Amino acid sequence: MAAIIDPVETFRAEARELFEQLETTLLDIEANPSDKDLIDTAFRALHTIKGSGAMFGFDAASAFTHHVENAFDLVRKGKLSATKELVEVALTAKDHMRTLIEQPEAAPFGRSEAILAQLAGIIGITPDMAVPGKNAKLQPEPAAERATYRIHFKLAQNAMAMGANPLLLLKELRELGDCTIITDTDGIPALEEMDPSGCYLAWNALLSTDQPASAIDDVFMFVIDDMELTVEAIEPESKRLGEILVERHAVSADALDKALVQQPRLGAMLVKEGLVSTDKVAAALAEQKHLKVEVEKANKVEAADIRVQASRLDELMDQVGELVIAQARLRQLANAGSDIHLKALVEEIERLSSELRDTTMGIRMVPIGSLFSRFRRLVRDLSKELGKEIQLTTSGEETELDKTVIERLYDPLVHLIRNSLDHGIESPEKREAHGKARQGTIHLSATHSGAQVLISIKDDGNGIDPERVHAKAEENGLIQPGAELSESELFQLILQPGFSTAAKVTSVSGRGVGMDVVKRAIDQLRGTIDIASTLGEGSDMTLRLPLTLAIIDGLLIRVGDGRYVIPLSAVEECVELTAEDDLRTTGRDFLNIRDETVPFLRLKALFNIATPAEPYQKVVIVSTGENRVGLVVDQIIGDYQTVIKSLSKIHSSVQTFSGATILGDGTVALIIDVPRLIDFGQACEPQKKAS
Amino acid sequence: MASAPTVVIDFSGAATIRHADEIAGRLKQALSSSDRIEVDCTAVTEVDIAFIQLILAARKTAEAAGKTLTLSAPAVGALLEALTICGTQDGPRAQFWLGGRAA
Repeated sequence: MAAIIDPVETFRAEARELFEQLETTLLDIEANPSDKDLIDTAFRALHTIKGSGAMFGFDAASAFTHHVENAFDLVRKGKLSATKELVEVALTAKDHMRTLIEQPEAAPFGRSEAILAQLAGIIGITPDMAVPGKNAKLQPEPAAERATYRIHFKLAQNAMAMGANPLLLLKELRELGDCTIITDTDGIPALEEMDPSGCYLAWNALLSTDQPASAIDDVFMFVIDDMELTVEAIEPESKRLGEILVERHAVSADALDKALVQQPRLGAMLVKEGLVSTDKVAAALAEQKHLKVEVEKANKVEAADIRVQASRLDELMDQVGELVIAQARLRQLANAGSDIHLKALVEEIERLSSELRDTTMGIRMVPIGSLFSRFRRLVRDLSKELGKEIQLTTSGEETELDKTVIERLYDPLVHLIRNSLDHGIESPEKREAHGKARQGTIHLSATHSGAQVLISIKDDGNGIDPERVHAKAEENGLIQPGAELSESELFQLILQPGFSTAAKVTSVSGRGVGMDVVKRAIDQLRGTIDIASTLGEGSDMTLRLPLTLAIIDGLLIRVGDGRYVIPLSAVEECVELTAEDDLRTTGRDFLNIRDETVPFLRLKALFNIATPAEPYQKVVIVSTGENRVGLVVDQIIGDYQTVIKSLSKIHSSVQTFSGATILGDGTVALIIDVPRLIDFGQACEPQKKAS
Repeated sequence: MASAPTVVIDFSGAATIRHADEIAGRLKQALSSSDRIEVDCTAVTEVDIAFIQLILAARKTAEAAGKTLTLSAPAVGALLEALTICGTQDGPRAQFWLGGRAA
């Protein structure tokens, strides 16, 4: 499908990102109302929304945004403070802008005016309702050319006696933009030799600003006589410390090379060797840091990325998968022959294709931070609604996960966070009574663990009461009365359908749906949920997820002539189905494994494969969390890592298989969807019994 | 280190270029009378570069003579503000200005 890219859609996608950024920034401002950078970021986002909104014909949205932008301009200029009320209105306004852009026709009549009136109340002036319309800049105007300057200056020795105040100069310099200043104290003499009112210090500054270079000269206008001043524009790129020192003439390239031989801490080495003073290294280090921040900022502004349709990435992944398979076949062929050149070439191709596979997988990876930041608003609004004081902290935002996994994680995480907010964390009064801080905390974290990602939702609330879970489970008939279960087994019951321990039903959660939905969603992502909890101290839900859905670690098996892949994460063990077991269990289909009865399904019967029974059948014991079920197969071939290819639309009604893969010899193997297969098997069971 | 008593000199009010000679004099005197000098700047209300330079020079002199000169408390108020403008918060001197005795 060669999609024609609708520019309006592109704008909407871009606006969506801006809105997300705006929301995060507003929430940050709420916490740090005086942070100038944040205010600037919010202002810039609003400005871009206004500008590009007008360009794409969203005049209403543009006009509305114009007023909000004005308010933030006032904040930026220090004429208005970023109060909680302002942030509140701005958040509402943001939601409204989103409606105006996503579904202009759905925007409630008079809403714009109502919000603007609220805004005017805060600013204290009536906004003129004139639509900027034609006057609005038609370009999504980029910030003025931003440049970074390296400034070095040293005043004349008598400058301070003449009335110059270096502190004021530095202050002015700082006001021009993002400025890193390092004082160079090398010029300070011993006390006896010093003229107490002389000026001995020198300063190195890094300034990233949208102002022209002449603004820097203006700062020094009145002290320019007899002073040392160098201003040079530099490219913000991450440099090594040594390069900076040489560029600053702080150390010669030769001396640097010599010191470099004795890595690792270059700065410390150079100082020790007496090649350069501590201050010079400090200045260079500060420059390094400043430039790094600047580079990151520049990258963020340009975002240095291209928007690509996810379907194209899927296509690419598919093709890479096929390439890997073709390469495996090529290798088989080459190994069968004796052509050394061919073998060398095959090895080369093998290396390239596996690199290509890794890169392609990497393209699909996105940091989970974008997902985490979406929950901040949720927690803020819900805790208000519930009358609780809750803060959300996050860590591991940089952890990368397949984009599809991240998208499909949103709903289950919302459920889990809501649960923590509603049932986990107590009211401020109750918390105080238990000797806890009034404010509860929910901590979201993500870490890599091998080929898996662990996402944990941890709260310091009341935890889960194992006895109540037990009682409730008995009541619902999930367990036998008096059954002895370990705590983790007990907590797993919470994930069963129709289970809710909350005595009180609120609008947020506690309707007995939720956790089983979470479980199903995580199952579909081939993940698991671990629940840990200490009564009175809080609970910790950990989701274990595969890095990607595009590749699967599987167990390759054979039934009749067909080969199938069972996801390895579901496999618990493999046992032999002896001939007598086979005979004995016919019609009963239960196996005794270490004194535990495990039901099993004969895949051959289930798949209607009419080949004769084989003498050495195996049973693969799989687990779906609560159930252990055996699958009888003819042969276990081995573990197999493979690229998943989805089934075509024609096969979308086939539920027992989640996809397919192409094996090294070119044949197709179906990937078994274990929970669905078991459901299917259970559904077949009554028929069998009836017959 | 000799166990001579620590000399504490305190500055208060405006510590600026107008009092530079006086400040220099007191620092010199303290350096000649003891091996351990503590400078108390907590009551200083106005600071300029001259003062910062004098403290740095005194420290350099002390170090050269094998003596120690420290701040009695991490910089606060006007002094901290001036240091922040200078960008003294990064680098090896941060310890001297901000570590104080508490560190």
